Amino acid sequence: MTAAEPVILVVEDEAPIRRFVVAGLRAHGFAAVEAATATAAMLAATSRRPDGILLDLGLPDRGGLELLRDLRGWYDRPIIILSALGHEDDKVAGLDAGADDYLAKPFGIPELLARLRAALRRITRDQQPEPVLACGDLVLDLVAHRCTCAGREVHLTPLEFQLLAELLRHAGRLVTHRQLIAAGWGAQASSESAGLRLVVHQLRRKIEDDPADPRRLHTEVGVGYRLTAPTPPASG
Amino acid sequence: MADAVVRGRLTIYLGAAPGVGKTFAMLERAQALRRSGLEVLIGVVLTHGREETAALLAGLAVLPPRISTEQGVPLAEFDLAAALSRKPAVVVLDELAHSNAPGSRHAKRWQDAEELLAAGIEVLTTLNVQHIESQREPVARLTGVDVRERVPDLVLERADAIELVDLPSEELIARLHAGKVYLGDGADRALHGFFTPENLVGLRELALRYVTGRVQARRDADGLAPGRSPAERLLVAIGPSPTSARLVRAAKRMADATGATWMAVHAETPASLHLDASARIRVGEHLRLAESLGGQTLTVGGDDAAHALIEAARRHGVRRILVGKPVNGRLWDLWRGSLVHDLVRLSGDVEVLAISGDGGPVPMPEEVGRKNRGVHLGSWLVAVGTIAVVAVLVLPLRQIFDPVVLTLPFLLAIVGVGLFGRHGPVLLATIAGVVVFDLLCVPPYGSLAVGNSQYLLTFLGMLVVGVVIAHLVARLRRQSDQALDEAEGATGLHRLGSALAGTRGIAALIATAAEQTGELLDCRAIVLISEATNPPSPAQEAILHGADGSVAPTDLAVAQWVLRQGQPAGLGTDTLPAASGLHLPLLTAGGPVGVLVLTGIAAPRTRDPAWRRLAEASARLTALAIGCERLHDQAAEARARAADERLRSTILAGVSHDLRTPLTAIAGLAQQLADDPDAERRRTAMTIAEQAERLSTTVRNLLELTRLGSGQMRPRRVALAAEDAIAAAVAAVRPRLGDRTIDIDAADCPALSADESLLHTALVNLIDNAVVHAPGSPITIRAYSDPERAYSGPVRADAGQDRATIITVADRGPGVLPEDRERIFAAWQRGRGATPGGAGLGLALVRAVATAHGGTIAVTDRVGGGAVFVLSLPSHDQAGP
Repeated sequence: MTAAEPVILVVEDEAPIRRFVVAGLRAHGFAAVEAATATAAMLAATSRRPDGILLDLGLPDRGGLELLRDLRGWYDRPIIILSALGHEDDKVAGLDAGADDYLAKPFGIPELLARLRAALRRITRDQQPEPVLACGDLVLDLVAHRCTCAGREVHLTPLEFQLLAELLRHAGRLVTHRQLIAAGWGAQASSESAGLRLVVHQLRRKIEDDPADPRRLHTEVGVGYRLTAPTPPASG
Repeated sequence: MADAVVRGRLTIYLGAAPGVGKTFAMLERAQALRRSGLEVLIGVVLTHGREETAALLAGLAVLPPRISTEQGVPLAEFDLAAALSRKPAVVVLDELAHSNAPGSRHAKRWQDAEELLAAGIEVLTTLNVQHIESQREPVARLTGVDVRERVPDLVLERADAIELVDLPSEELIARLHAGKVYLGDGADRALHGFFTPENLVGLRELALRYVTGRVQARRDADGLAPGRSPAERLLVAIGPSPTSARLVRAAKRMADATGATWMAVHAETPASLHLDASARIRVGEHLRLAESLGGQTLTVGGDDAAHALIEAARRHGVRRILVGKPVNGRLWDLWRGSLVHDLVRLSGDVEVLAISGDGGPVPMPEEVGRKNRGVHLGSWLVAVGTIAVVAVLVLPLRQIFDPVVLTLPFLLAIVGVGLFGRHGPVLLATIAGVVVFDLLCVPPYGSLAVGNSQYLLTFLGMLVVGVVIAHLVARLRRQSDQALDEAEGATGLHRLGSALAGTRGIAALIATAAEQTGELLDCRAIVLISEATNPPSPAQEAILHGADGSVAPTDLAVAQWVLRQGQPAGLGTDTLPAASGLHLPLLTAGGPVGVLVLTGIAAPRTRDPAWRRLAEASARLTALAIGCERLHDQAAEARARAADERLRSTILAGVSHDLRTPLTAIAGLAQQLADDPDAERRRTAMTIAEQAERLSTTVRNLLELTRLGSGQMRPRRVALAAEDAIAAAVAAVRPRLGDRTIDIDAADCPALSADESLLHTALVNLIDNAVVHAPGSPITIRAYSDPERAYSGPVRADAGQDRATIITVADRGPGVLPEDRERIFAAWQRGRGATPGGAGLGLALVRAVATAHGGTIAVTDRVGGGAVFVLSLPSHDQAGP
């Protein structure tokens, strides 16, 4: 990352939301570019080359999903979807179409910043392939095919290993069901037939201290999973 | 019929004569069926005191006969209604050709059998070959007896099995001699009459031939005999002559013998306008006979019969025409033309076969129930009066003019009578005219004696002119009557059609149809319609009364039968002919919707094909109108529902959009304010953010509840670990938990099958409910597979494997009052003892989710205080893929 402020393109047709998002971004060290329509967004994306895009899927002139697919043809930096109530299917489709993360409305600025920063970090990390993946005290050695969690060796089935590697490659970010199914079962497998959620459950029992209160592998209901460094236990 | 009742099996035990052992064979089969566990009911069995036959009845249930006392003498008949209501698997019905006693539902036993079969009951029955309709002439030729009780061939052709019970003739004769065969009034008489050895051999041959023919037909139908030209067609020309019936049966036998299909055609020509009602009834009967023998029927029109028939033959690819041999003399043919000759001349490559019988003079017209158009005593008086007036007028002129000239006024008078009267009065006027002319104008006056023989020629001329005029007049009048009738019928139908088209509402339709139909058919018409159901159920017992008033209970029963069967019945038909009216079904594409009852008419008129056609056309029009009205109602209902649904979706989308924007802005901005150094303002900002979040949860719940309720959202089921689902739900509500503890016990729960998002929503709402209504109380969540209870939701493909997974959410709050335990799951309802603040939607949504999965949600008391919410969902089938 350069010393200059990262430029974020905010594509949102509702002026009040655009205003508070832009205000939030500027207050926390980002430069913001606004666009209210898909056409303006495309123009801004090509001319300003933003470091990241916040994209509302419900745009007046063109489907946000369509815009997302067009952008993904040439734009390789983070795109975060802002999704509305009652449009869960669009959200999943957007993630599968290449968006990096999503924020469900209503959302707060701290949440937005956290997601944005996690997405932006990917740019530096994805550059070199690593033989050893790590997230906090969870370490996966792709060469030796070994996994340790808090220093203790964990035995994984090949399928669990595949899924965990995919999650670790995108540590801190959302990994969709489709992504995981493609990694574990192949791109052709259907999401219903694969027992993804059951395998994740097994994985949790191996890497979580209390599977009923997961600290590393978090569920994004209806969308996918997110692997993080162990979060501190809740205050209660 | 809309009912999907599979037609019962019909097995016919066919024999050449009584005594060959048909009943015995049938009962053996019945016993075999009973042993295989089927309920066999003996409808009618005539053992005629034969012990070995009677012994076969052992162990079989026998239906008590219906005793009919219609004609003073009690007659035992098969009780069809009782048999139908007992619904056995098999009914044994001896003597299929039997004619039922008057007052029975059907005229013939084979109709009883048909109704049993239609109700899905298997029927075993017996029949002798001489009772088969198509065998009438061969049997008559052979035995000299015209058998009166006959069964249509169609019944035999629809039989699933015909078993020939054969016995060599010698053995049968030996049995006859031994007195083992019951033959009514005594074996001797029978032996010397019908059952001579020659006859028995002949009948046996007929039976064998018949069965062979059936086997061949079956083989051809199954395509088992290659190389045979398929679908050779035969056409039989029929008319009003009684011999046409013979012709139809001959055609049937010929078609059977050659494996051809056949059709009976009646050609309507201007000449057939002569036909009086009884002749037309006979034409109708011949067409019905052809139908009952399995032939196609057709009525064609044209200038002359030969052309019309040939054209019909070519149109239907017929290679062979069957026609009655002419019986008229050559002179008659020269005068009127001969159908056979015309046919042969026009036939080209079509073969014409003339068979003995048809032709002959058309019987004298007789008036059958036809409307009398002004033929009264009056026209006879007019005839006499006219001649009298002419007589008075010519009296002074006889001195001036030659008598021959004076014939002219008389001829004018005869023509004048012809203009107003029928041929009878015309003939009377002719004769009276001749006599009066002779008396008054031919010298010597006042005497019938004729002075000059040339006047005899004048008399003859007058007579011939009179007769010709009478003939022409009569014909003209018949034609005009017919044309009038038809025009009246057409106009009446048109009136009925336009009246129905302009009427809205079922009740008004019924009234209009009854009124117009009654007027058109010159009788009392009542329209009864079935309860409007979707789809229309023919088994409806409830039948609405027409606007025209009540119907006699007996007629109501007939109407119900007609509604169920979709066939006409009552007066003038073979079914329930004792009814006071003719009942026609109101048929639509969706099945019968009602019954048209026509009363106040003479039975013969109901058999007039023209009247029947009109009645049936009225019934069809009425049915169409009622069907239309019902479709219209249904369409309007569907449209209203669709509009409702669209409106709801639109409102929902609008609400969701309009709420999410301000909520997002409020929550976002409030969170930004939460960084404020001032503690009071920080708290205010937090409250704003919390409330905005709660409002957005309510909106989300409302949205999902509506989508689930309207069926827009179908659960997308996947295999889930209960523990993960609970953990995710707890994580989602954690900000609201405060410092209470949550205890989760779900590690050993097998996977369940549910929509991840919907289950999440349900669990979040259940936990939120505990958080709101049990302040500070710890919450315990358990998940386990219920080993006792099999999953009892809607049947799934793998239904047998389904088990229930139970998730319980328990608190130590105040609990739920017993009377509230159902109410709290309804939308916008909260428990009476509940703390204010709940949105009232959460539990309704939980129930909607449970229902969408085929599961349940309930609340009970917790041991030691508090409430337990029990959510039951289908387990994931471990054996599945």
